Amino acid sequence: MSYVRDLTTPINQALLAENMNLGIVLPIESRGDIRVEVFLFRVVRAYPLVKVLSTELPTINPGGIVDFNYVGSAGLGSGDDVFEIPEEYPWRIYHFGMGIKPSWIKLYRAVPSGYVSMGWARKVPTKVGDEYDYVDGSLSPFEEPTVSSESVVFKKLSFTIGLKNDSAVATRPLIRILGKSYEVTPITSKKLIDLIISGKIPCRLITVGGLVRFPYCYPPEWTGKSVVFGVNEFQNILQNIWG
Amino acid sequence: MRPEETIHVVKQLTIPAGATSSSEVDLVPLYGTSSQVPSNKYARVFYGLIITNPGSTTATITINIYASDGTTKESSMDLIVGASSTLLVSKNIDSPILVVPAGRYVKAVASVPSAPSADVTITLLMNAYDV
Repeated sequence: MSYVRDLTTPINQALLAENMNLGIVLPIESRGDIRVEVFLFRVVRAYPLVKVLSTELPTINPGGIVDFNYVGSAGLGSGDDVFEIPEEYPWRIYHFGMGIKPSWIKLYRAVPSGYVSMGWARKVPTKVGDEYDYVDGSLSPFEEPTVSSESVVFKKLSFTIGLKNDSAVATRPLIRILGKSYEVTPITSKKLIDLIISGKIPCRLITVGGLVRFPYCYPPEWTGKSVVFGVNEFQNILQNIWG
Repeated sequence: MRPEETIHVVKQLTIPAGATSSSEVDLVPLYGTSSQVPSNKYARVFYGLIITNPGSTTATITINIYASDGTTKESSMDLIVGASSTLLVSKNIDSPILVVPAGRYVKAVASVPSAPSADVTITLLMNAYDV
């Protein structure tokens, strides 16, 4: 599905299959005139991506928080990073949602590490525990993660999470990662790119890291295969395609 | 609200030998630290209740609700359980028996009409969830 506006849409309805299009949207500027760098891909192969984080997560005291850290095989910040894609897979992309149990656990994301994913335009970055920029288990439940928690990870993009226990009882949460792993090939034809950006060719465009600006890395194999859009470029494409 | 997300209060109210009431105890949820309904919630919804009175006389369990200052009593209700009896109130999760607004404290005390010759421990189990 290209356009998914309803935040409660199950992530299953936003995942892609072979021969569908995926776009990664990265921020060059996020204040004043917006400029983005977009990588467009065709999904060549796909496979389910499923994992439950249970013993990797700590018990959190009532009202307590766990600050941002990577999801390690032995715990948050411990062991191999579950989301780290090895060097030999430059065209591998993880696309997933995160289902949370119980409903009172709040999940915060910092993608890449050190840059909190935010939608609220705040003067100071959101911290774990703030009443902003979180997804809780009622919005993205364990049994059926929703697009409110939709994320992508590729090589050289770090993915960290923070948690808050917004209840009166100590809780050890569970998080269900549900999605797909893709092998992709880049789309570099200007004609195809314009048709995708104009909406004529379907493509699932995904914002990376919320609406903040951050320095980002991507696999060196991706170099030269992106397009940069600002206000004028968007207008020109839309005018050329739609008249 | 899923069943596994409910919270439970398990408290024992002991009436010492020679006394007619227990001390008042905070109804703190299991694995919780306070009987206060979190201030960022709307209410704590109680939908299930079990009280066991092993004593030889009828016991009264008084549920008290205090304001957010912890000392101003806002409401009080008496639940009466016969001698050697269990009071069971089992409702659906969406049919509450008591709704306590945010910020309030919930406490309980047990009493009997005449002092027992040995300690009497009354067990209180309540099911609830916060919304």
